[in-house]
Amino acid sequence: MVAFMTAQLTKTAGLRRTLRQLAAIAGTTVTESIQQPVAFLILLSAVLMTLLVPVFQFHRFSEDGRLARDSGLSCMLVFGLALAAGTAGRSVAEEIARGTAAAVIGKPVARATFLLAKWLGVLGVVALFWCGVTAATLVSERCSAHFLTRGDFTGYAADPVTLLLAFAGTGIALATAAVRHYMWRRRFGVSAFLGVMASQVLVAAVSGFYNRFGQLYPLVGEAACEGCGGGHAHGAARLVFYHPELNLRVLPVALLVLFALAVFSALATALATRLQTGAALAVCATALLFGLAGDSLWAVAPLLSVRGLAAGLLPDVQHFWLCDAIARGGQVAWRYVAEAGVYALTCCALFLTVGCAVFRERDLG
Amino acid sequence: MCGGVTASLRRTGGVAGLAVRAALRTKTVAALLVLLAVCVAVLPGVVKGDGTPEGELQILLTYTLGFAFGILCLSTLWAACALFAAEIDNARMQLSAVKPVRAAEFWLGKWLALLCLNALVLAAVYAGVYGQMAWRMRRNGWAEADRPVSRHAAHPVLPTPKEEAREAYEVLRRQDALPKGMSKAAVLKTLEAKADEKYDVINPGEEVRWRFRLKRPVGVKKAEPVTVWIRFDTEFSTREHVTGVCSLSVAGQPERAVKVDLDDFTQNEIEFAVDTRAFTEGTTGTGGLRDFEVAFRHTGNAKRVSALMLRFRKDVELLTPGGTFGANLARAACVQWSVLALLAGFGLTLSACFSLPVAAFVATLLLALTLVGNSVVQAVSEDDEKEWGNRVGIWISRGVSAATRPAMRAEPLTALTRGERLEVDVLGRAALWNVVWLPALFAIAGCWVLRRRELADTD
Amino acid sequence: MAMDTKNVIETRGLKKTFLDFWRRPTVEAVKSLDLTVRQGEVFGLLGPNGSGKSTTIKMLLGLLHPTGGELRVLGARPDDMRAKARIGYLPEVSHLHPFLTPRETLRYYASLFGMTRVEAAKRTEELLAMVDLAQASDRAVGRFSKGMARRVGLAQALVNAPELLVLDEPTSGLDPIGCREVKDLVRILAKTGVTVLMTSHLLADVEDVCDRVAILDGGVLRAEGKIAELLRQPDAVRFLIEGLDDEAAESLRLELEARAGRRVRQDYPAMSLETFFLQVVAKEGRARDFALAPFLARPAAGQREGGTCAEA
Repeated sequence: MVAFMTAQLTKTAGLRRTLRQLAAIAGTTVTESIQQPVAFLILLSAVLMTLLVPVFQFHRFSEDGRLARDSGLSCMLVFGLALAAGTAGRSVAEEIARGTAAAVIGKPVARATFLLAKWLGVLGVVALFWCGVTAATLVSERCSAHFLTRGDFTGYAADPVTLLLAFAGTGIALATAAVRHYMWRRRFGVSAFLGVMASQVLVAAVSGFYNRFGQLYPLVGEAACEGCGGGHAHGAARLVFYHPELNLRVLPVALLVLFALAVFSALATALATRLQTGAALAVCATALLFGLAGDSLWAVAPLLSVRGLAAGLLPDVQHFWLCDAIARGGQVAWRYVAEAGVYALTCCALFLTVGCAVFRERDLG
Repeated sequence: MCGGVTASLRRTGGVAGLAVRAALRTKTVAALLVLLAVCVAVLPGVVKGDGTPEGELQILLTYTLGFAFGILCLSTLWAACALFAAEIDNARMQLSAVKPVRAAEFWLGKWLALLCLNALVLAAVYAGVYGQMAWRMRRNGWAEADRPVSRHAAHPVLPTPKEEAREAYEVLRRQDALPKGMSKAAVLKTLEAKADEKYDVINPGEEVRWRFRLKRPVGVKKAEPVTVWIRFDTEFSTREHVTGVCSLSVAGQPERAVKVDLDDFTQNEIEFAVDTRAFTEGTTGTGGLRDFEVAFRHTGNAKRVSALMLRFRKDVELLTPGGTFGANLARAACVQWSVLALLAGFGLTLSACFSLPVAAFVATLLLALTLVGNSVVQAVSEDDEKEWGNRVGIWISRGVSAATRPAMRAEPLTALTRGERLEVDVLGRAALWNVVWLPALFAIAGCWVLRRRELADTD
Repeated sequence: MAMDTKNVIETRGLKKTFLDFWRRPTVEAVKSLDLTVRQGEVFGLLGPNGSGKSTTIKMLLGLLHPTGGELRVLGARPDDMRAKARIGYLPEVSHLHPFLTPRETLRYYASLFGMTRVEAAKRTEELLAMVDLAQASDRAVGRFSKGMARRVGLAQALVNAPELLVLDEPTSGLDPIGCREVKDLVRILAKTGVTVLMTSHLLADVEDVCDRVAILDGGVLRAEGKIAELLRQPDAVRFLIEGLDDEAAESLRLELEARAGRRVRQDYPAMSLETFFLQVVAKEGRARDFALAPFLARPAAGQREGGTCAEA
């Protein structure tokens, strides 16, 4: 009994130590990664491209919001992939080349722990990026022209106030980062990355205090909910204090994109044990291409064939790309999101297991 | 002097050779080549066509080549952004910079390396697509009419948009109706753009005629097909059934006109070919045919059918044989290669100015803005401009389009798909702008920065 | 102030202040440095970390731009192409292209001097033999040990048979045999008229090969002169007598003390660890020399204008 208890305590202590190691390495990876200018520039590119969509929209076929939403989600996937591959390359491949990885592995840290922590770190950076771009996508959709009919107005109405706020928020975030760098020599990249992300979340939240015509709440009845697209009725006498006209049905779809990014982060981390950033990015891009074309490529292939094996080994990105599902008021069920999460986790486990096996044989000298 | 030039060429060659070696020995380039190979080999099989040879050709020429070119554009741009920036960042530039090599030689060497690599890769991609096409033609037994062609395209004999703009400007000036607050150049530019997009409206029962003068006579020694191609739109962009009669005749011989009845306009396009023997049989002339006239009469019922609209400067063409399709494919590759040369030059200059992430960010953002801007300019209407919310986007798009139009004017994939020969002047213009003039400007800027930039880090 | 064009390196009031992104001064790396290096001498630049040695060297090579003062290298500005054609440089870290072999590396750098293929190939083979890398000439440099990479770096610095050789920590990463070889090479090059400017943390190395040294600290020149003069203790005399037993030595010491009226110290000289190490490996037959023939046979400086370098 004592021996059993001792064994359990040892196991628990070992687990605790592993968890502490995971947290320490992952935390350092996040901090180091967002210090790099490239991380901030990727986030800025994705946010600007998402916010620019309403600026360049001139056709009114009731599809403006959808175009903005799809563009935002596309930016999320493509730029997120670049960020994941870049971060993995820098935090794994470059650390191996520089000898930093050898210094860590030289401590009582298992290689599997190291790789898992690196993946968690990459995922952390991607998750921060995801928050910013999801908020920008919600804002961009709100700012696109919506067709409205009410007593004194019939036609398309955009939301220039929120769009201006979103651009101003980005500008203020950059200016704040610059001031912090100038006055207190804080790292510009970190301040700018977190600032741009926070500014978009803040604008999305603040936009709930006024409607798309710029009228501040509290408002009553129809005026309270101009063009929110929610398709719900408002009581004539109901006073509304806060009403974000954001299409929150985007959230599960965006979450699915995050799952896809988690899978590509795992793939990139595994690849980075052997390949440099550029090569890992190219392989991930190919996997994305095949993953998106999976339906056409592998649908009818027998399991025991090259195409069938490819279908089994490559992640089917179509599972994570459900933009069309919310096109005409549709909704993605949370049960589906959970199932997709399990699928993503399985893919991550597969890639990381292969990565660990490859990393075990890698010379770190 | 001569020895100096030879030594300079050797140095430039040395820099280029190193960049080529670096590219060929990195896994990134190998992965890129695999991606391109997959694109050429797999994409045509993945994208679902409409089952017709025309559809298959469209997929091969537009999707496959377009996708491969897109990948090459991005990789060229990013590789160029890395060439100086990464070498400066990892201090390798220090060893080269202390040698007697001028900034221009560094710039030129690296640019030439990218040009050589792009030429090789582009040639492989085009050869792959050509091979796929030949294989599909043999496998599916495409009819002669379905096979890809290369044809000279002639447009109606009309004053150029520039001439028409000048005339319209004079009229406005005489009437004192020139817009206030706009410079002469801006007014002329607007008028020219309007002239280029000008529409002919053909009401039911009306007939329009266009005269053509070919640069090269047809039917000199043998019979050759002359193809009439017209694209139109109905007044309200509807797909209604419109009927008409189209005729092709040699100028001065209206009695020999070949008339074609048309009543299937679902594609909003008319295309028919006439053999030159229809005009030369029974005549003794051997000089070939050069002047033609195309007439179109709208025969629809005025009460039920709307008018037709067509941009007569762009939407009416007379097509005559112009070499082989393979040669046209090679010409398209040359045009795309020139665009890659321009991107390489642009990326190299950014690379001399900034660190790699910043250079790549600026390059990608400007590339995206160029693509969006040029699409917006084509799609935007006067009504769009009236809304103040649209104006920022339109101004940015027009600015970007004006700056990049000379470089982007040639559309090789559209020409390939439509079977139009890419003429020497198009190739020349692309070469002049994309390989000589703009890269020279970028080189001057890049070398200026390189000479002033500190190439070592701090202690 | 007029500068003497006969001096190979001459600086007057040379300053370098590094600026941050906002153009604010961060570090004053070099403060008003006056330095002269004459033709044919081996000059050592010494100083602790951050003293401004590498910054000075990088300014001499045109890699960094001075904030103030004047600077002449081989009678010209550092960015002058004719001057660059006569300089060889070995940086502190070799910074070689990892995917190239030593042969490709040397041919590449030879091409940057405008050499023809034949000239470049000949020179490459000579240098590969010199640094004893002929056997490894087809392996990628990225897979080399630090010492081997250093040898390639040294070879590339000599590819143009330079008149001025700038060596930043030349013995860094080399084993004692390699260190000795580099020092021998420097001595031989100096005999053929090459001017050498070197920095090193290993003071013994500098002492072994340099004619004159300058000591920098905090960007300021603290001392400069010939080593013998700087190190000489003018009020002390040392005798070295071989084959004397302890008793005789003690009696001699007492005699000297009585004569001089001062205390006399007695010690037993030992060979340096480097000499001992080299003797041991020489017994094992592993010591070897650089193949220095190409350098012993090279023409004296000043006779090589327009030689292997097209623009020289």
